[in-house]
Amino acid sequence: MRRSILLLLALAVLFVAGAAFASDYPSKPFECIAPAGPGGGWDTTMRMATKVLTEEGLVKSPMPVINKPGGGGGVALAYVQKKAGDPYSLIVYSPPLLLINLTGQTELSYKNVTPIAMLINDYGAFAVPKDSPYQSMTDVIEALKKDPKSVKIGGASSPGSMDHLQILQAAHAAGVSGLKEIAYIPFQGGESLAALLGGHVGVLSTGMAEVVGPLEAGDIRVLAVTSPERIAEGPLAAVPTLKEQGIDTVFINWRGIFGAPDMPQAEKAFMEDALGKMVQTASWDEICKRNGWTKAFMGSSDFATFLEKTNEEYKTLLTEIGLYKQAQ
Amino acid sequence: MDILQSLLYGFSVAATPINLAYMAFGSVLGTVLGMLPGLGPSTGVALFLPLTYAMRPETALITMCAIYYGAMFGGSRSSILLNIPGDGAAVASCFDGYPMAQKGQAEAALAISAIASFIGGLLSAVAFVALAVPMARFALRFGPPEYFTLMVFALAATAAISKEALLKGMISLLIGLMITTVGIDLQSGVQRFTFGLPELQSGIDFVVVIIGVYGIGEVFKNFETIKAKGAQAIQRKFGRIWISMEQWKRSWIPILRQTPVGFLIGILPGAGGTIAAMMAYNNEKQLSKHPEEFGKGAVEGLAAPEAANNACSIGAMIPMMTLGVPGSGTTAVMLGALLILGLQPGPLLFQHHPDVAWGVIASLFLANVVCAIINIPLAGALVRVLSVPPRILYPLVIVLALLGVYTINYSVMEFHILVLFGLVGYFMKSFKIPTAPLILAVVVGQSMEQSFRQSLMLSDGALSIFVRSPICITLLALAAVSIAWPFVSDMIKRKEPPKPAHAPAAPEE
Amino acid sequence: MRRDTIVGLVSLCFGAVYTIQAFQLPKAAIGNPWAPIYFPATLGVLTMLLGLAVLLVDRKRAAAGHRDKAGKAKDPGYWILTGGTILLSFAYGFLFEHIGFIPSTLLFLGGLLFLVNGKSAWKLNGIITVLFTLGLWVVFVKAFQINLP
Repeated sequence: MRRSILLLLALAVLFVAGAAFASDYPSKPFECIAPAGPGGGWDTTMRMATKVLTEEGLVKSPMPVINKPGGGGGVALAYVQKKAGDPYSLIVYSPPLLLINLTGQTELSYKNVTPIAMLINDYGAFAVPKDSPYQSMTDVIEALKKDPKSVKIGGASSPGSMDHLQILQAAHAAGVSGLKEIAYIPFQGGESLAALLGGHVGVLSTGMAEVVGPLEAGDIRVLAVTSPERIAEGPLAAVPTLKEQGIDTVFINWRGIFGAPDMPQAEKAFMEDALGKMVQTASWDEICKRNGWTKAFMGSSDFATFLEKTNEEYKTLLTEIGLYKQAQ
Repeated sequence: MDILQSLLYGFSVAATPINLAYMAFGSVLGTVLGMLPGLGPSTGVALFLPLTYAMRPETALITMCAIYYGAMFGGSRSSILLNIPGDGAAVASCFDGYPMAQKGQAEAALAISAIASFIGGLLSAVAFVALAVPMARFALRFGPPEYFTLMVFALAATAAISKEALLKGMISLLIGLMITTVGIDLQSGVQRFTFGLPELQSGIDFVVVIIGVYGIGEVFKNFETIKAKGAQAIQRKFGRIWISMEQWKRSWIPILRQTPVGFLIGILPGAGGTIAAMMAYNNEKQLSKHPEEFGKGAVEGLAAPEAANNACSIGAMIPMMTLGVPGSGTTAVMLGALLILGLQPGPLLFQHHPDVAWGVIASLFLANVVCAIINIPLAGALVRVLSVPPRILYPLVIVLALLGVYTINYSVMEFHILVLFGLVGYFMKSFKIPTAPLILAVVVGQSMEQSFRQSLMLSDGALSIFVRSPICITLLALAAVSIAWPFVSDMIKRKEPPKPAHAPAAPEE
Repeated sequence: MRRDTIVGLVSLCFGAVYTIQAFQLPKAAIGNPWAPIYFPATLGVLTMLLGLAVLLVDRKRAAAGHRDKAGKAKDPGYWILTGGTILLSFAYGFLFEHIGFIPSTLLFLGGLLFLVNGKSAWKLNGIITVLFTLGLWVVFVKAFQINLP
């Protein structure tokens, strides 16, 4: 008798909890994952987004950010697989989500997370020391066409990741043959900028945010940005895009929020809606401006299509240079 | 004078009550974090990061700097008392700090470490003000070949330090380098020795190796006699945290000598506190009149690395402030914070936001004083750890170490790696293999291989790039001398009669 | 066996295994395909050579009549302590993510203290375990906002 009462009670609790789940989502704290250490792009995006979401009252539950660094985001990707179906796990990603799969570092791909919304775009830049012989991106391309090994290109991440891909994409679009031969030299973090400032590499392929300071100070020149249109303000406004220099390509460092695999429909819609409202707030505008991000909201289904298309583009490029690898 | 005026202005920014209060808070937080194994300045700065969003930029940055120095002061506490370095920069403080504590001189060890840190920090702050810009320009001349030769020098000097066990020291060094080959190779993107584990893709964190080899290794070693002796406290009576006149006489020259070494290494982006502290230790041992006391509790063997690692942490601020290039993990997080606060680090920071730039520089002086004030009485409390009998202390140490390494990557994989390196450390001690070369190799190994290959890519494969500049040649020559020096100095001592003015030139390798 | 003989042999074997492994590493897709292998292979070969050198020096010393100084006598049951600690650490690693920080740490620290400090002091062990675990939790989770499972 007593046991059946207990059972009934348990069932009732479950039922109430279940009901609360559908209508009162979110009703408990989230787990917001930054797949890298603190202070970087992923971490900042996640922290800023959760800050605005909670401050503006769009999400009432606490949204603590935790860091799960390792394997270029692969460790966190493996981690969220354990959370399949849990609507309280959120994670931020950008192009490396596709790249670590395409270069064979993990068998998990963008299909193993639920895209909720793209939030922002960031772009790449190509910089040279101030006394460099290269005056424009065309000069660099000409040199690469003559001898792909003649220009030493520095970047801050390993081959097959963003800094490498963006120079390859530009060279590819400009018709350089021998993409495999291009001397791309990876450095660690800030050392790449130091190597450029010291004139140890010829060209630095990097993100926009990294070059603003030294550009403003006149220590370097920036030959091109990879955005579709010129940057509206700041010192980068004077820098031409690749397209303006006749190189018809754009490299986007997109960042978006994902849920765990098999995130339930209703909860996904809720988060998509909350993020959609968030990007319209003044405080989000302010944050984007401060970090030099371009607002680029994209809802769940568009985002999924975008990922599929982008994945194919990266795959083509990586296949060309022989870095494409199916994970075992 | 212009600089002095700016500096005075900086003091007026930094010395407001609110900034001083935050500075004190940061120093305490940093000291506590620095003491805990696995947690270090970058954890502290990262933890503090979310709080900065709502702060004034100069306050945020001043607090972060205070955390950074606090951690440098605190890092050596656990080195001295428990033989567990809080992070890489505190490894060299184990070599003589821990033996001092074992001999019952823990108070003096803690005091000299705080004093040396204070002096090293203060002198470097002066050097920062006077030399920041030219030094930063000089540091840019270090390209991949210069870095490679610098690492070769650092490793050669460390392996040579134990000439009795030169061969075993080299083996230790090679094993250290092998550890750094685990993970994704930055230059080619291929995975090496990861055994299919995603946790190993980013390599084995050197902090785990350090805590394993020293901390856990020491615990295993002490297990050998714990049944017999473990119930008694190591030390029961505690004196004042201060040093004797004699200890001061032995230490002041090493402190002054090694501060510039630490400062210079700090300025080089990517070199860092471990190299600075190890180099300072090596230098002092080689210059000392009684090198046999090193490793057995020589007070100058503790003072020198302590001064150097604090000098290094201040030097590391220079590339960040003057060029916008982060010189270490901690300054990278600080740089991120500056960007979030809407400030662009770099040379123009001094023009656009002189309040922040000079405020931070003034805070280097103030935070040093604050840290020293906090640390001396704190040490008085901490030293009582030694009154806990080892049978209780060691289990607590193990838990603390495990938890500390967990926070590095938030992964229990680190537990297994830690225990493995605990065993490695234990066997190395049992077989009398020096551990210092292994540690330094683990810290510099990856950048050493990478800069070697970067150099070859720059030169299209020509090895001549490694003698391309006076810097490279000097560093290689120093490496050769440091290997030869112990033998040469022996020969000189044996010959004894009127000492020759100069050592015979060391053979070039 | 002499101490250095073991060191030499272990270095020789480890160097050999590592060298073989190094040659089986994946080759680079761009640039020199052998680039990721040179460095590890060099390390492996050097380790073998040094191991050999240690062995030779050791033979010479043995011939000259050098002897290892005897180490301090180890407590009986030493290996139980070390082995137990290792096993407990593995168990801790497993439990940590499954049952959370507080319960797993209580078990682990309690177990370690039993092992090292002995069963007779069980009262003290219990008190220390509970206080230290809660203390850690307060410091890490509450004060430093570090997320523990």
